[in-house]
Amino acid sequence: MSLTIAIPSKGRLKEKTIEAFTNAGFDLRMPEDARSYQGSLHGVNAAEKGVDVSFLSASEIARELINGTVHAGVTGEDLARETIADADTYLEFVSQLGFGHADVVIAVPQAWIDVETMSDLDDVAAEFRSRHGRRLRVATKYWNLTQSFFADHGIALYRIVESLGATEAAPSAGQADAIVDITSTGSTLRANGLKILDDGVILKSQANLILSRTARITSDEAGILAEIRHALDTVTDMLERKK
Amino acid sequence: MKLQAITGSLAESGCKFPSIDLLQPADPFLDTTGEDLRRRIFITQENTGKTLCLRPEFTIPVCLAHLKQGDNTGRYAYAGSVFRQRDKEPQEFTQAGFEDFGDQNRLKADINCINIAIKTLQQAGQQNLGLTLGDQSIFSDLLEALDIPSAWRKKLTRNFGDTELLIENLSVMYTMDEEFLTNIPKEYHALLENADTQRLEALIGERMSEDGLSPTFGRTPNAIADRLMQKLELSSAALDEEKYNLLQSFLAIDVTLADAPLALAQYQKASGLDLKSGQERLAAMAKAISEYVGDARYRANFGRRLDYYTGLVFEIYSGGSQKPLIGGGRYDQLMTLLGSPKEIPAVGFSIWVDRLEAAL
Repeated sequence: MSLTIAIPSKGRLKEKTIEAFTNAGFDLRMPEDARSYQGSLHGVNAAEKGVDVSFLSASEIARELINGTVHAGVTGEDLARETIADADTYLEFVSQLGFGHADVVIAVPQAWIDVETMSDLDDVAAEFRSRHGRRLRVATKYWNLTQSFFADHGIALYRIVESLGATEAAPSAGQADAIVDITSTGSTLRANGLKILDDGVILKSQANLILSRTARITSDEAGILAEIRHALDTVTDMLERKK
Repeated sequence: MKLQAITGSLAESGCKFPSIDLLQPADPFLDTTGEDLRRRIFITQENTGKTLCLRPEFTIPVCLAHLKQGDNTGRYAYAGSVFRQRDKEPQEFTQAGFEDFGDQNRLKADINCINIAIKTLQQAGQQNLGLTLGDQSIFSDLLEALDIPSAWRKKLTRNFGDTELLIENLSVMYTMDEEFLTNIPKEYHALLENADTQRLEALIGERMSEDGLSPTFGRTPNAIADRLMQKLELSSAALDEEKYNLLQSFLAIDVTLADAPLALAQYQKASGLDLKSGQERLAAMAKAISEYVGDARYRANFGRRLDYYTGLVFEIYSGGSQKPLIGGGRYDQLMTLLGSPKEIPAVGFSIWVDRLEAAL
């Protein structure tokens, strides 16, 4: 299998990724016809003939990296960590690319004036059943992230309700008591009468260059990836410093 | 082969073997043990959307069978495959076990349960047994004797079994700052200080309806106001150093079971706290068990972090295995969680048959 890098196939994440590779001095070529999703990357010194590029959906990229069917990829850290529980066993998060920022947070109704921390939520969860006849419900599409974060805080007594859209509305719709969702500024949460717990940031996510630990790789190919990574890092650092 | 010896021994002890399906509704497991269990069991879905799982253990289905039967007391045993998501061990493995429901004489039932566990291992050819035992009820007695506020008592009891978390929470209570009100919106301050719960509830209720929250779906204004008052009270009641140290030194008790009554008596003498019933329980257990178990220990901090466990917890080792061959305990809250209108005392154990087969 020749060296393959997976790039998001649509949306802002795709645009920003192409921009990052261009800024780093590479030439990222789109698929030649609209039905193909194979492109290529040129301008890498260590790879004269260019590197294969697969354009895939952001969540597919995480799965392909875990399976080892691509060697490297760009996707959100949140998606990667949500796709598999012990992500670091399968994936190496080598570069933060400085775009696609989103925090995965736990939020509760603002009217819960007594709840500010995970420890408060633990108390509420423990008494929920005896007070309200059912377990505390958390709406989210982030099953894995929620389960590990709650487990780290010693909270077991809750149930997850799957939510595939408009999660922030779940409490007022009577579907859940609290939510785990992504936010960039928190304004959508506030507009829905929710607040983020003081220690309720589960993950500060952004787009990452991720290497697969399961894909087989030659030392030449590792050299190619190191060059790409270095070039991307240099540009990201420069942009960070300008801010 | 050992499985036959096990079931034979359990049948001799007068147990019924209820029939338990391989495919189980998942909700009773997730509701009692919590959402975290989802990652550790095999879940599937019916066409109707109902969530099912491969039998992850027997205790909960046996409890449900008992509740359905409607008897006051019952003694059951089971043996069969269970399924768990595990990394390095087989995901399908055999468990056997014992459950004793409804016996109001808890000490007698606890001792009996341990004795049956020992007898079963012996009949399966295991000698040189080692046992570790803990008892949450002794810790609960201590919290009561120390006059710890009830909200904290609940939290600490909930942490019992995870000593790191327990100590962490003790430290929070010990170093409690009094700046509670700074994090609370200003409009609530006066109401809190005057303990005007009625108007506090009304204000919270208004807030909820502004945000479109139903006052009956989940937490009620009353529940929130209650907990606010409780937090206010606790914020000015940091755990004093003496109690903090007493709790720490209790949790560090780790002695042979034979020495445990004496260790508690010494602790009682030094602290002036009444732990007499704990001493009596441990003395009775030591007396009943010592003949059969070479190496029995009492560890004051040994427990299970599940809210339906209430008292005894034990593990039995032998045959060079690092992991216990038997784990058991008392779970008096489990039947209520599963829908029983009244509390039904419950004690039991399960045997890791695969480990037993592999043991020396």
